[in-house]
Amino acid sequence: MATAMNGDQALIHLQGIQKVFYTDEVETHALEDVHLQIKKGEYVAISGPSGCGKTTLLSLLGLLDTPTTGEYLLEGQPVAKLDPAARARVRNRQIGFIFQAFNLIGDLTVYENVELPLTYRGTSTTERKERVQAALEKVGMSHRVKHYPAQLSGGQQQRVAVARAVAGDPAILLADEPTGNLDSVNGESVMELLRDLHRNGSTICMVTHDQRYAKHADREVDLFDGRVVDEQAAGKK
Amino acid sequence: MERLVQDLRYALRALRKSPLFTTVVVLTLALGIGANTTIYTWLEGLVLHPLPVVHDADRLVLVKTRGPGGAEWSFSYPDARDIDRDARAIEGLVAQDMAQVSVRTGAANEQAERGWAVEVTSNYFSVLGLHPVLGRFFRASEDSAPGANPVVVLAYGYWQRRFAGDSSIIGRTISLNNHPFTVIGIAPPRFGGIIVALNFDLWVPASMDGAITGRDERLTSRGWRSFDAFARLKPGVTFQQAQAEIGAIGARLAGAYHEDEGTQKYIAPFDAAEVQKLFRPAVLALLGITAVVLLIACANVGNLLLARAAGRRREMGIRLALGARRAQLVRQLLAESLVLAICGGALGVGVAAWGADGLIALVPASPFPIALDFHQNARILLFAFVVTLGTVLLFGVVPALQASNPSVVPALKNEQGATGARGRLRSTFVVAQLSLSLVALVCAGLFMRSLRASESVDAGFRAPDHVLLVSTDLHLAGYDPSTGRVFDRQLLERVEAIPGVTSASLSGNVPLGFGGHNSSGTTVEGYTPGKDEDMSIDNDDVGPRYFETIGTALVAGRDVTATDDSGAMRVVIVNEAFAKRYWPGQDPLGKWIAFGSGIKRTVVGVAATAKYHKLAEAPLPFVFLPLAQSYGSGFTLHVRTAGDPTALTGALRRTFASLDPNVPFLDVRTFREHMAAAVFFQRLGAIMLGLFGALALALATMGIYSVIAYSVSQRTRELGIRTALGAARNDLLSLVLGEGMRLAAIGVGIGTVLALGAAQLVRSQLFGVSATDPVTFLAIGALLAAVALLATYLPARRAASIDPMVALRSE
Repeated sequence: MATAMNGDQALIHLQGIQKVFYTDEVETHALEDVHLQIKKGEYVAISGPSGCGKTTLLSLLGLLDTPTTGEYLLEGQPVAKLDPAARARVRNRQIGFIFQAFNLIGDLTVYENVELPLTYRGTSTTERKERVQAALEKVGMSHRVKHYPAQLSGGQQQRVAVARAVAGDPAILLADEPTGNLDSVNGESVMELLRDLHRNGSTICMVTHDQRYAKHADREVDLFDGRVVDEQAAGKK
Repeated sequence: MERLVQDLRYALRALRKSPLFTTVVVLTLALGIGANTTIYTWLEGLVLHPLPVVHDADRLVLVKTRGPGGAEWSFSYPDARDIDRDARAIEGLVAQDMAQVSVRTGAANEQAERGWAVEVTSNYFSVLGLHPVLGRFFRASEDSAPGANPVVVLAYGYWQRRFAGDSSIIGRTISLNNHPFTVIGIAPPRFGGIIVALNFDLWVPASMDGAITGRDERLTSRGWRSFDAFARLKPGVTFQQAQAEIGAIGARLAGAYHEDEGTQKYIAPFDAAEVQKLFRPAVLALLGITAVVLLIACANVGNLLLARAAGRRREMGIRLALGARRAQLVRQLLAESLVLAICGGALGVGVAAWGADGLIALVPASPFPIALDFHQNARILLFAFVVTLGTVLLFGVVPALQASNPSVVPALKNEQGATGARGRLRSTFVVAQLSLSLVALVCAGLFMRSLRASESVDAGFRAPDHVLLVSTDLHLAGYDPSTGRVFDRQLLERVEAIPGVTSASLSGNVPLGFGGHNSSGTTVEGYTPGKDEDMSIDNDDVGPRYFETIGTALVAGRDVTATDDSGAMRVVIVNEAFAKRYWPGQDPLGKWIAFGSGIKRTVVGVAATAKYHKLAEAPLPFVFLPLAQSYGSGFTLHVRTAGDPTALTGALRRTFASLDPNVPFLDVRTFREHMAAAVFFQRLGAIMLGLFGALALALATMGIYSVIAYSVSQRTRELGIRTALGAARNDLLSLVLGEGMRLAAIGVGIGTVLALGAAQLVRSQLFGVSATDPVTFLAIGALLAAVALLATYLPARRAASIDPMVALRSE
């Protein structure tokens, strides 16, 4: 996949995205005619009330789900209709996830959790070691490599999850309510970490319903009933 | 490779964290794989490769004689020598015959001990491709000159046991039947002869037949066919080529010698030997049932893996979100299955090593050197390995495919995804378990009823548990026919004088054991045999009061008496089947029959027809000769008692010793115990199938319990809502019970159809019970339904007592 981009070209381009869930005889329109662009190096916050489609949108962006209709270009390549194996490959190489519930694997150590996406990529042992070490240092968790998630605080677990997301050097970080399970001190600390990553060039798309954190982004996209209803630079709302 | 190692490392760690799950799965697989490996070990040791130390055993063939009527006969020694000399397609033809011998090693105050010998032609060991561990084997010159080469080769085990492995044994003299023999060699370890399931102690040249059996005319008479023969095909020679050559030589012998007239010589595969023919169907049937047990075990493990997968949905979702391809997840899950299977397989091989020797415990008492010595070998380990890998495919693949395909977004949020397909799969596994259990249990039930039917057959012997049998061979103690007859008479007099003894007698053979009977070409007064009619009729030598002692009714004439001695008129007693076959509508008393020697023997009695070889046999003509008129040194003392016959064992032993301490007192057993040989295969089948059926039932019970319990746990909220809406305890109870019983009904239905098919496969092994026996089918179906009801009731009771407030809060 071509990755060469100029500064103005969209890293993510969504055009007329619709997502409908079918259950028995009921159709639920989760997203309707969504248009969205995210540029390389941009920090975008997606906000809106519960049930507005934030998480569905993030799932589509992360290729965890496929749109019912519409076009999705990632780094200029159409990815909406990829087969499952190709989607897995894109997720693994171009997308880093940060979840509200951390989603670390309890049976793996900190080191192994961060290493996991690299093992699926087939990265060599030496390179894995270097990348894992660097990622953990970036989030300040390199002293906990042999710990298991259950031995860490919530804030520490989220830092490890961030390290896991950045270890593979993805094109974009997708964060789904990254502070939702944290107290305010740890929440602020994680947000500071994301700001650091952004300052160092990472592209971030974060779902949040907390206006305090949405303001950290360059741009804020508001969703309501599955539609983008407002889109402006953060802090101008 | 690195990924595989990593997958295995993760698998080990994940399994260590679930010790209960891991233990249950490993034990389940160990039982399934162990059961299969045990039976395969029997198949390997008894049928497929019964001669592990024999070089290139595939080229060994049996050489046989077919009589004019098509009956299978043994070989005469001269015929064997001629074929060995003339045949070019074979490396050599060996003649062999087993014999009991009394062995003395020369130690002071030594009691003679019975040994099991094989008389062989000198090429025995070279044809088998064996080399001595000490000394040498026989030379060709030791076949010549009857009685001139008293040399003996000892079995390795016998050398260890009797001579403590003393290497100075070579060149020493031991006594066999009071004749000095020089020990010349020791056979290799684990070699006890080539008769499957029998283990011999020593080998002597057939040229020493006179010293061993006292009848060296066997070496010159072509009519005396008492040797078994086998040969080794030369490399490159086909079975058909050898068959053609041996047949041609046989035809030449039949033309040249009147004793061979009408006979044919032919070869047969080595595994066509009697023991293999007996064991093969039973062992294959058992292997079929253990395969069913393994399938049930795999279904059970598959179910457990599906339940475990449900608890790992989130982990799978995370891995998929991080970019794992489904194939990578399947590989990792299969690595866990592989680790489980390897642990189960390793334990299963241990189970088999222990279980394989269990067969010997089921073999009834018999006067033969039965030895079932099973050893693990590479083929058995390969079988266990293949079965182990097969189980991974059977139980691991489907759950891995299911588990690796969760709805990612709900899984990441730990929300309940759609469980329909997984639930259906688990139900399918349970139905499969119940169906297969029914197959195993029906087969077990049929064999048990078959055993009961066999045991209740009137074999023609009254109260066999009141008859004690003691075997001996006077030749071992140096008796000749005249001194032997005196011993026989005195023995009976003294035994009958023992308080508690009702009557006593002797016979050369005992019906319904492993040993069989003599069979001789017979001429019958007034009867003209049809063309090629086989006139070989089974017979036995019996002592006075034989029929009274063994409990067989006489329908005409009289029993053998003490006056029927060698000086009296030659007489016989025939059975009713004989009389009906050869003298229908005539009075048999006073008629005569004659065996090979031509001496006419007058019929003085007609005995009721009994069972002689097996319980299922059709009425078989049989002739009884007075032992004193047809002397045989080996006999079995029969003692009928009013009470427990085993209580007289000591008194009988003292009686033997009082007559001659050198006469061996061997193989004490009741007639009932001896007859157990006749139902050995039914008993083996019933016990093993019962065992495997119980195992299958336990696994299926566990399966249905786990599925219903899991279903209840998944429906906690639904059950809470139902309770909140007014459902009574009994409503919930019947809701859950209904779910379990629906699965049971489907399982019993499918299982019944499968069992009808399986029963047809074992029909030939059944006796006295139909393969579609409605009692068995109904009883097993009801048993399975009852067990399913019990296994369902426990989770149903839990469902009925759910607190609606707790249930409504659960997700």
